Amino acid sequence: MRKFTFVMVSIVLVASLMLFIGAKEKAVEEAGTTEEEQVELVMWWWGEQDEPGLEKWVKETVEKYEAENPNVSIKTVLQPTDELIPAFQAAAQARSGPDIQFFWAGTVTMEPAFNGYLAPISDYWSPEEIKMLAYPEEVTWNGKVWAVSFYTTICPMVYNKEIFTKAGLDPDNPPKTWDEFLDACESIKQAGYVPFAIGASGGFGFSWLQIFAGMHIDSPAELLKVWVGQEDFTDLKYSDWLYKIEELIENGYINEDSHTLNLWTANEEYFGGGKAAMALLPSGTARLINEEILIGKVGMMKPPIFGNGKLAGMNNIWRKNFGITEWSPHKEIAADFLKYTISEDRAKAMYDICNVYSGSKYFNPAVVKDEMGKMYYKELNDSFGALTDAFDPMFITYESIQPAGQNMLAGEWSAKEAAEFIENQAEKWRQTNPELVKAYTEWIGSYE
Amino acid sequence: MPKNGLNKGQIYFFLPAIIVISFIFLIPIINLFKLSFQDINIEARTTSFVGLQNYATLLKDNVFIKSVRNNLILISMVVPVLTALCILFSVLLFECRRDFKFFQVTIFLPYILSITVVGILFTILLQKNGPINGILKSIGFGFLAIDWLGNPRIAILTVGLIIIWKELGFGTTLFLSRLMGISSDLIAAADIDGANWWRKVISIYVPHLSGIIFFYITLTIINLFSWVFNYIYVITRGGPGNSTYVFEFFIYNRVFWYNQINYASSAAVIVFVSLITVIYFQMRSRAGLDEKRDIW
Repeated sequence: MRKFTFVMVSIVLVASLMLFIGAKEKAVEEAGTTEEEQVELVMWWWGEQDEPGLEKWVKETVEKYEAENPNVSIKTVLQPTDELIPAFQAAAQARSGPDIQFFWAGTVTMEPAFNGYLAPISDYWSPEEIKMLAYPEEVTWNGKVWAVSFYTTICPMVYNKEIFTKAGLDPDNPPKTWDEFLDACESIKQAGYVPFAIGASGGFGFSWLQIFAGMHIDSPAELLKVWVGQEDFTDLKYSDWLYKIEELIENGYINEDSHTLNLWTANEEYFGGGKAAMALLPSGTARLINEEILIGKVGMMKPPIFGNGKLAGMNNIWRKNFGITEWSPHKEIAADFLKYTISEDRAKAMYDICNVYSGSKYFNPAVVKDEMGKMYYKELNDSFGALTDAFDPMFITYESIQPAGQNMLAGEWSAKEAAEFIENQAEKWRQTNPELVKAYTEWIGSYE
Repeated sequence: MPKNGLNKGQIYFFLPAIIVISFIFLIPIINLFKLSFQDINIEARTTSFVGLQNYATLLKDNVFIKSVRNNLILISMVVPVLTALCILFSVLLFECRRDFKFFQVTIFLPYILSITVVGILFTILLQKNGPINGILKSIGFGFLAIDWLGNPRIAILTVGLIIIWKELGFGTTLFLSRLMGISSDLIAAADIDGANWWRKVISIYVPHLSGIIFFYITLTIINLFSWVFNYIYVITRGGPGNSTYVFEFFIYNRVFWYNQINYASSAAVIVFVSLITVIYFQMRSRAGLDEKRDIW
């Protein structure tokens, strides 16, 4: 009898508990229905690490959008460089995280799209609106556009005019060909300065030297063909730039600790410190150094040419993107907010606040009044379709080019060994990622 | 009640704990094994069974092999050096009790610093043109001013040295606490018998420490298999080249940068099985030692 009572009491207790949970869930659902109009968008982004002042622009843009759309609030979450991709990958695997995600250019944006983590922007924007993106080809795949370029970073070769003068070089006519560049490097070295500064420790740095990789290439599609296995990286057409870097290393034209310093430290210490004559600097940083450290001494140059490809002599350009996550319950509102970020008013504000060029055609170049800004804008147009590390699969950037470059800079590998390593790594990537290779192959179509 | 076990009623008391532990440990481990035998098809968003393919690819992956090699280098370098130093410092501290606290704090200090702080500190100190090489050059030891973290051939050894510096305090304190239990009569007797310092170390201190040394070695091996990620992440990022890649960094990169969850799972399974094997053999040899001691 006691056993029976115990069992009955247990059943009643469990049933009550289940009823309670069910009622609570229903109440939550109903509450959700009443609050349906109030939407919170979560946006993960990178901050102003390459473009000082951008945080102020984002804050202002969010405030203005919220004022115009009182039912929408946008929570912005800053992600440090090292966490940007891992944090998003973790969120994507859990199918839970931001509604809007910041991405670096090219493959860093497209691989999440290939993996099904992004919703296509073109599902929410009209074709006319899509046309206002500065370079939609870069984010087009399977006939859909997957991200919004919200700003463009130009990262050209810069030089210190004072060091050029001290080395007996013309500060207004930097070298244009590779031979002229080598001669200039020798003069600079003889004058007691480091000709070219780079930092390749950590995740990237060496890959920025792909500024020299487009010399024999007409379109980024040609490099993509290398990665999907249609071409061979060891072919000089694609790897010649490594031999040129090797020439610089062997002649002592690159800072000897380049493989132990990260890019930012090397730029600050050597170029900002007036010890190196040339470097690669994002326009925002270059402007800051020109205005506050090397007052008026920073000049801009094109990468010295050693080939006849259409992309020869183009500087690094990256379009930084926003994408809408596949799991976001507010995709339309997110798409509307992104539309607002590239509007004419916001494009103008971006330049006014932080001298950064919007990634949309709404940007009116008339707002650029200062000489340095005009110089960079011209370069941005000249180098529009440049070949950069944005066309390397992430695995190739971080597991092939970067380690190969570090070994070259450390004096351990020759250019030939580095090229062979990169090709072998690419083959390994192809073997372990057949679906990605297929997606990359389809992506090539948007460039041809 | 059974002679060497629990009766039925007692087992019921353990059930909630067993269920919770299963949820926390067993299910993720089973899932890890399952993932390592699968492959994700991105387009179809399905997973398929691929047998040992991930393992086969892994064994041909030079970066993975280098990671394994680096873990083994760290173990074979750090474990003996660290253990020997911990014994040495604990004995020295035990013997010079006057300044005991000061030295104990000094040695323990690196251990309480976060790995991030230590990593950043040494990254700056050990730069090719950094302060340590500057000092070495200024005192005439320029030949020792090597590229500590920039030379792919020695970078992993430098990381090993940093780990030793950081972890020394813990082992020393652990050993010291054991030495404190030695009867002063025993030491006094050894002194009366004319035992020199070395004899006391060999015949008194080390035998007293044997149990804890065994425990410490196992702990350090486990740490060097699965706890060096922070050092590598902060100090070298696996570079230069991929000369300082270790297991965990390999797994982390494959999952969080390249989205290769199945591939990384197979690497994680190898780490897991290796660790279980190490622990198993450690327990067996420990049991053997205990048996011998009982016989004596």
